[in-house]
Amino acid sequence: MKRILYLLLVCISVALAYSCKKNFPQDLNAFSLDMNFTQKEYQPTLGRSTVYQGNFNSGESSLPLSFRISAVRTFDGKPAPELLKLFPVSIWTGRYTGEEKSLEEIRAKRDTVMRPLWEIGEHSGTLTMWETANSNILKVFPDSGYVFDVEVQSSGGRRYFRDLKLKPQIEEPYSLNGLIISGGMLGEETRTPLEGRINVWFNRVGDGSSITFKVLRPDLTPIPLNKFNTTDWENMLHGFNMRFAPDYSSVTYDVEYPIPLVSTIPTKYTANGNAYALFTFDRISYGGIRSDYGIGFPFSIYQRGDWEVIFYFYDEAPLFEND
Amino acid sequence: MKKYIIAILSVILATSVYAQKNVDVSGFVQDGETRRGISNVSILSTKLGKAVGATDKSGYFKVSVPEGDELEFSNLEYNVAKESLVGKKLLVFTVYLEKKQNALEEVVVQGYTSRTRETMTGSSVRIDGSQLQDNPVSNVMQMLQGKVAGMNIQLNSGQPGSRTSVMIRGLSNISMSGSGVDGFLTPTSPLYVVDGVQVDDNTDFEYGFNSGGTGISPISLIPPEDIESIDVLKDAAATALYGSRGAYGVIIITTKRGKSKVPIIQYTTNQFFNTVPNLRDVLGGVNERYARINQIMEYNGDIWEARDDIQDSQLLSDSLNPYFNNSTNWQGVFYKPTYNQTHNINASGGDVTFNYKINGSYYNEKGIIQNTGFSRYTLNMNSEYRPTERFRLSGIMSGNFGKQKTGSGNSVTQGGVAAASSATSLFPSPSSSFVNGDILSALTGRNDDRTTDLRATLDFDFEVLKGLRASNNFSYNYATTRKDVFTPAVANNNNSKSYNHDGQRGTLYNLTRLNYIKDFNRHTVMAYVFSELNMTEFQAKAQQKTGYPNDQYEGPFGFNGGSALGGVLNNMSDVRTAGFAGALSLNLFDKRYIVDFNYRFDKSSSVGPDVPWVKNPAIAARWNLEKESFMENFADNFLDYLSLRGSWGKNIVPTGTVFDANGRYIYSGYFNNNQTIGFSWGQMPNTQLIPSTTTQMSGAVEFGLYEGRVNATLETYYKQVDNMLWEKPLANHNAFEKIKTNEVSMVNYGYEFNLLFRPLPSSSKVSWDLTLIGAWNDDVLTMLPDGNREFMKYDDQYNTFHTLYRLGRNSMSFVLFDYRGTFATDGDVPVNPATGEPYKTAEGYYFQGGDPYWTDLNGDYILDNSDMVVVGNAQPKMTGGINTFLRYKGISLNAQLSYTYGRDVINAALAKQMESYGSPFGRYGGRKESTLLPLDRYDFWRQSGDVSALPNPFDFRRTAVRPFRANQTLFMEDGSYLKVNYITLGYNFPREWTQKYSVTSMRVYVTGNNLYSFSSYSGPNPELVTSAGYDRTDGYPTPRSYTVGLSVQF
Repeated sequence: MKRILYLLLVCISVALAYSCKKNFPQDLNAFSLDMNFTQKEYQPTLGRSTVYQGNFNSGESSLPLSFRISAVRTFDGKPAPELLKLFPVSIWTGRYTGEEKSLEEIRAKRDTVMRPLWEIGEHSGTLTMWETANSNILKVFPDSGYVFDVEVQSSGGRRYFRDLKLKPQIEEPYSLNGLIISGGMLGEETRTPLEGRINVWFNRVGDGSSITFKVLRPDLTPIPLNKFNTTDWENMLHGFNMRFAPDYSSVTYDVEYPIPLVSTIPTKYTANGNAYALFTFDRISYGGIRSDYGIGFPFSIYQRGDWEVIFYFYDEAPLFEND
Repeated sequence: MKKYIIAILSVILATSVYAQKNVDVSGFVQDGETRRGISNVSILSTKLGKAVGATDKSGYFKVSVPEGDELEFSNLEYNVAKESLVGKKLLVFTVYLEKKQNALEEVVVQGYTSRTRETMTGSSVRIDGSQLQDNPVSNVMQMLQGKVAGMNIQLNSGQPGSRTSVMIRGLSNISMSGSGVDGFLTPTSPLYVVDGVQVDDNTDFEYGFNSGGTGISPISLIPPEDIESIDVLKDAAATALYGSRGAYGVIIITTKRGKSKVPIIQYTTNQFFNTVPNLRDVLGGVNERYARINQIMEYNGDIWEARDDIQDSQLLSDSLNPYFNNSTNWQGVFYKPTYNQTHNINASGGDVTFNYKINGSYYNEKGIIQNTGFSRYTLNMNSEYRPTERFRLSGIMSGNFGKQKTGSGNSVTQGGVAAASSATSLFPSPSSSFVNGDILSALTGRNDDRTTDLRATLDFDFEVLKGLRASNNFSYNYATTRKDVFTPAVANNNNSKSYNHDGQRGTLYNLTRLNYIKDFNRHTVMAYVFSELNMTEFQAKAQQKTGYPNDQYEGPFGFNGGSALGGVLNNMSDVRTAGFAGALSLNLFDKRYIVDFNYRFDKSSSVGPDVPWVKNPAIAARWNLEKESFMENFADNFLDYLSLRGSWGKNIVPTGTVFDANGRYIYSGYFNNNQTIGFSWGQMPNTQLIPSTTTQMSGAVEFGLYEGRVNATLETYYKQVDNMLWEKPLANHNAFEKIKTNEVSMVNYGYEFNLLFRPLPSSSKVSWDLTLIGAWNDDVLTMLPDGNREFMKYDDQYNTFHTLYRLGRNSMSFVLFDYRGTFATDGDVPVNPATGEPYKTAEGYYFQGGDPYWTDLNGDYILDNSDMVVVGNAQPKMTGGINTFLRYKGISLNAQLSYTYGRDVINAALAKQMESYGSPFGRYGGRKESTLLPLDRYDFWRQSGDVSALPNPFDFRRTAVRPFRANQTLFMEDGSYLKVNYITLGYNFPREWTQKYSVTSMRVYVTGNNLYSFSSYSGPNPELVTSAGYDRTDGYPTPRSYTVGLSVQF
């Protein structure tokens, strides 16, 4: 009897406790109304991978959230299948250090997978334009581009951010970020500083994967590269199979593109996010002083190919002879 | 009295001479448990059918009764004992009486009235004062750990005299003061009522880590020897009539009263020895030097640079210099065992018409950290005068003085010692002439807290008509607190410094009550109404001076006026609360059914002016099943009692201040070349501010079986806390910066059990009481401001320990990086496929082999705050205790254990120690944060390819990655423990021996306190963590103490 009574009591108290618990709020993920994209218009330059990070403010939401690009269309509302289709894109699978000894070693760290060109990070909300995208596939500025919606959801709720804008910019296959002529290099005729009197030409001459450097006089004849006698040719850039033309008119490396491979990882070949090639020589100047001169060349090349980079001293060639 | 006894005896003698031959019987009546004499035991002769005498104060009796008589010894508190004279040759003997063991007959206090447990409807527990003896503690609440189901007591600090954290039925407030590891949960100690005076343990002084005030808890000023009983009231029905401040529970402390007709003088002394518990392991001397040198050689890039760096560091290279050629155990310098004593003398006497008590007590405990300690001097007296049944007057006066020395820390932590004891062991110990500032200020500075607490109570009642009593209770409590800190010039860059803090608090309390009792045959009705008024004034001033002329002459104050800081502090308060209440108690069918109704109205000056009186109803009922006719069968056999009770009620506690509700005027600079006072735009007044409300439901079953051999209380409760105070920032286009509102709610629910077993039959010579206590508590956050589901409170100061509040979850979760292991090689670090960058920290450092692998929750290959996971619970799931009490004749053995289960602790101290390898040259020139942890017990990453449990601690050039950041799951540990609180072995000398020296009872005992904690926690003590669950490096370790005590009664 007593035991039954006791059991009954326990049942009642458990039931009481349960009925109280029933009204508790569930432990759901919070979904804040304050969440928003801090960047609404994206203008990636095509031909290179562009990643937009920190573009979303989640407010007081529980993390992580799930993101999905839900509707992509052209600016005037027509379908844009080119942004949904999968394309082969090159990704990194291993860690690039700048210490790789061969092209194969670098290639082993990369892979090609099929991805849509305009992609959103599943939980991070970062937007990526892959390097495969080019102006043949996508509409580029001055076209008004595309409009897309993003669906953000978690177990706490779902929300659509509508009419985010994507305005792709036409490719810039290479960029030159200032050329440094150092040491007060003099012209061989006027013996005045050459500072600023040089042009750089980027020519894509084939579909391979190499880079060639040439230096030309005003009459377009090459300056033999062995005149740049103190240049560290081996570590000019992260390239392999360095070979000079028989007359030293050019030097060629087999490389992997883009150059630099990972702009944010500092290596001995880079400076401030660019590849940095340096051509140096010395000569004895007035008073028997040995002077060092150099052409510092910070650059980036995004498009794969056989590139020919020409430094053209259009006014006068540098002075190499000793005084 | 003696005169009467003699007179009665002579009459009896005279009358019985005729009847038959009388014999003289004499002996002692003693308590079977304590072997102390019991006074006023009446002795009844069954043959004569009347009382023939009573015992005196020592329990001695001598009566003359007929031959072959049977004597009955009876006293209210004890079971009746019978002693037959048939066949007895020696008519001198000792009678042992057993205390009544039926829990129902205990008297408890609830709502200003005492009632037997049998008629109690609310949830409350009484702890007898005898359970608080034999173990000297600075704060009596330490003794209650593990003794009350549902009361979670944690000794967060071993500092003598400090407050212990007391929580009844879970959390009552989730707001934190301070940031990150300094975060301190708003204290929600229950309301203490000491001899009728309300004492607030939460507000009188400052508790935070950077507190300005003193750290002496007012409860530390009560000598445990003087405590008659402690009642812990847990649910709303029990605390209903303390409504205006009873929401966190109520603890009623009653001091001893005079009970014996013959004056009794009792002297108790404890001699106790505090020993240093386990401290942290460190490397010393040559081991430390080689560890540092090897580390630099290995990780400093190239060997030439490493050699240069070592040469440049005098600490490492100048090993022949006596200043750098030492192996000093710094913890040994600061932590020392101490010898302490307490003395207590208590004189009492009197009877129903007049009784008195005087208790004087001295307590002195030197802390195990040098230059710390606590002393207490108290004098407490009370007297009660009852000339007739209709009139009663009692007065209590109590003066307490406490002095706490906190060295270079405060009442909670020991930052100075923690810093100084983390100096490199290569430095010489302070006994030599080479010393540095941190060490000096820890050892020679002055940091005294003093609290003087005066309490006076006058209480009288008068029976106006039959059944109608009017009573008034008036009390005044005046407390001053002083903090006096002085740092000598040599310890503070040749600039002596002082800080003084001075606070005064006066509380006036008055309660007027009309009480009516009417008996209707089998029913009793009791009703009462009362009004209460509480006025509290508090003001604190502080001043800080630097640049005294020298260390001996602390003045003049104008010496360097520019650096003087002082004035009234902004925590001043002036509080008025008033309440009106009515209660009706029905007691039907001979206590078979009991129903209580309470209703009260409250108003407080700290709520908003627009808020009306708060109404707090409570209802409670009890059904004593064993009195029902259908239970007779059981009641006759094995059942002592069986009852059900349940209650529902509401309580409030004012949480804000008058400034939160009404705004504040402050000094606002110059206007027209005059200093002006203007409105403070910091905080917007909230005229709707209301007190925090607690609504509680509880239900319980109580039963006793086999004549007291099993007593049990099983209880379940539901406690909802609404309207918690919350500070909300306002959008920056408002004039004000923030506002305080009442928009947070939470719920605690759980189960409590209290089981008492007496495994041995009452006939056994050995008696054994086994008590098991436990409480399971779950807490859920149920409301956040503005309808939010989640709110992350960022640690602005250190960006380390954020607090996440989330609906439907326990309120105290940790927000941590999820540690998955260590990268064995560089190649194991994941690479962002789009950019080619390896996984990196938010500051831009790429991870590499030997670095910790924290989960990248959102997959962006950047470790930042959005990758933190919510784990763990800083609040225990289950707390309780085990008590066993064994007694054989005069010998008793008492052991108390307490346990805490299901709480998580962040071992921030270990994190800091592992980080110590981050600077092999020694931080701060080796003066602090420079001890090295011995690593042989840990599995660290050492070279590429190692699959290890812990990341590489040695690469000091990569400390920016902060591999040993404390806010990661690696350092979250299970903080459950089972602690042996104390073991006491006592012996009561037989009266026959002590009588010769006119000592009525004498008792000696030895006690070991805080003996051992069973725990899987890797730090020294899982209990010594902050209320938010962080084990800081600068905590005050709890000492282990051994006591020899003596108690003599004359």
